[in-house]
Amino acid sequence: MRILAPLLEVRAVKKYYPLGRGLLSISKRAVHAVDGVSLRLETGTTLGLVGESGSGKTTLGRIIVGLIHPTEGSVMFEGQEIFSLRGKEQFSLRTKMQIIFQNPEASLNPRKTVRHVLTQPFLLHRLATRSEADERAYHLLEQVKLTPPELYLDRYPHQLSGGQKQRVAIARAIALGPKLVVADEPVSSLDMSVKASVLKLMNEIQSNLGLSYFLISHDLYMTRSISKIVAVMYAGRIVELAETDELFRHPAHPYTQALLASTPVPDPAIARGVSRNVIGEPFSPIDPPDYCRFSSRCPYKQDKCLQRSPQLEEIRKDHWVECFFPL
Amino acid sequence: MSDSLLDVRNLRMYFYGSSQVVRAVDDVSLSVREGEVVGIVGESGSGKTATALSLIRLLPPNARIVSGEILHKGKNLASLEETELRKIRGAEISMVFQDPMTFLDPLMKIGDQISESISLHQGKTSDLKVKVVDSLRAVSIPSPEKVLDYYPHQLSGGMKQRVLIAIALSCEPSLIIADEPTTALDVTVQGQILELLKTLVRKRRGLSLLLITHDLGVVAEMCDRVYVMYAGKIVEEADVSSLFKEPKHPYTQALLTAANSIYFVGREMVGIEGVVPDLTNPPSGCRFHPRCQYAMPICSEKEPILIDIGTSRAACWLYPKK
Repeated sequence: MRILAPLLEVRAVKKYYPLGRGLLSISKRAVHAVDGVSLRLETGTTLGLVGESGSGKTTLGRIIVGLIHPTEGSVMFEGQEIFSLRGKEQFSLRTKMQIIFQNPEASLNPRKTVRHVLTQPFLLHRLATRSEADERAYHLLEQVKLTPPELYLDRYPHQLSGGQKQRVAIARAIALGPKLVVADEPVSSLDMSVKASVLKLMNEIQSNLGLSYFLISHDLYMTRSISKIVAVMYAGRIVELAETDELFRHPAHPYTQALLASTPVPDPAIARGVSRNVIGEPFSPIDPPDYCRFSSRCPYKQDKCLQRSPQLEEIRKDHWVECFFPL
Repeated sequence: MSDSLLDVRNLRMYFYGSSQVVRAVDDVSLSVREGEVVGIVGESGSGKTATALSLIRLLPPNARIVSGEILHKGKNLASLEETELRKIRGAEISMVFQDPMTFLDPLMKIGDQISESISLHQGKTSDLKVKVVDSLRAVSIPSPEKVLDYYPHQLSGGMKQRVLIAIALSCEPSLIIADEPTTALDVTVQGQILELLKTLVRKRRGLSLLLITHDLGVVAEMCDRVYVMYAGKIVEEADVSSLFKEPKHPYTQALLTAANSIYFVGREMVGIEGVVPDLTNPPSGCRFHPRCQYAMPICSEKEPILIDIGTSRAACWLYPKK
């Protein structure tokens, strides 16, 4: 039987962190980090998840690779609920999905050489002997353009630049030929000149290996350069979802518009004409209101927005918005 | 230039390690005029923060200003006595840092942190509280009377940055040096802070802003004039529209191409190959030559100096000397 399920399906996922775990505390207050998110990702494509700090995007990314258990909801990978897997099955799932973290400084062990970092995946999963693993590591470095590889294999992370470290982290993530790579702000700690080359590399790897990226970023423009679909997250919810071009051409949620207008563009002719209308700051994620969560900052809010929560609705084909009055 | 508020000439600031010397700021000259927003843009390790800190000599013990002048209102800050400099630092020239979380005292109320700076420079006047409230109002903090009694943790990142700006403004300085003031903030909040800084410079007569940033978008939006730094040196100086329209130095060109390839659709993504050089042992000649696609033999032999090219200035051998 052919599998018709998408590569990844996130179903109504919620993650609440209860507050006050003291003995006498009976408080039911909780931080709603992710509050009812559903998404699909097809093979070989990139979904960009954009949001600001505290929007829940990193939590969602970690739930997807099984690092955090959701409070509610499920994550299906190739038609299988990942949190029901145990033991060997769970272990082998790791060969199919991987994660790249924001800060390679922290995600690479300072006491291990590049060779160690890149041979471990093969050895842990018993997919190669030591000498085969060495050879694979060599090829991985070629793939991420750290050439000649022999120059880098025996270096420690502190002997690499930020961009080079992130390339090693990418090499580690693709080592076992995963189908899905969650990349959590993969370039935001890097300089502009390095950013572009790392993004270019990620694009190349995708077309060579046919893998999917779940790309988490705070930068809408950066996401555009690499994603097919963009989801905008605000206060634990997806507020807009559409194909990249459509989203940039017709941003329909006031928050998406605000994000676009707020990002300084490297062209004085454009940047000077931008007017901003988003005021204030987000609601606290502790017990958010049961009406529109963007209403505190929305220049277009009306009475209805303060009474009920909008739901994600399809306003055009494949263009979903969670707003009563999409623009 | 006679109307310069700040005139930096041939500044060299080195860090002294146990066996090595890091030439972080190496022969930098720049000026800021009254009412001007001047940007210093560069990547990490270019020396832009080191330059900013040198201007008010906010330097660690192993750093030394080796040579050069920092002229501000007739005084040379590079050689001024520390006691004299203290009267200028925070009053005439103040600073806004990148991370508001680390530059506010977590155990001190907001009001006290602002009045500390005012009373230090202006003495304890009877209208101190009024001045503090005014400075909070100037940075558009809602209900300033209430915020006076808050501790930093009760404020969001954007509000904390507003408080830092309020402190910087409190003694009515002529120059604010802002080092990546919005890098730690969210995009929508960043927009608000940039807007605030822009309005302040426009409204307050005699206030100038020296903005240190890595973000060409921020430069495009904020600055009148820009210095591009690479490996401890200024490689280009231009007014903002020339810089973006006709970047002269290959490094500026490469930076812009990289930024544009991310921000504008349909362009091929291009980074800059290689890494920022080690400043204990910088490359000979032009420091950018190992990464430059136009490098010629002379580039590794002789160091180019800044020369006029149209309305811009750049240090590059591509441009023939007149």
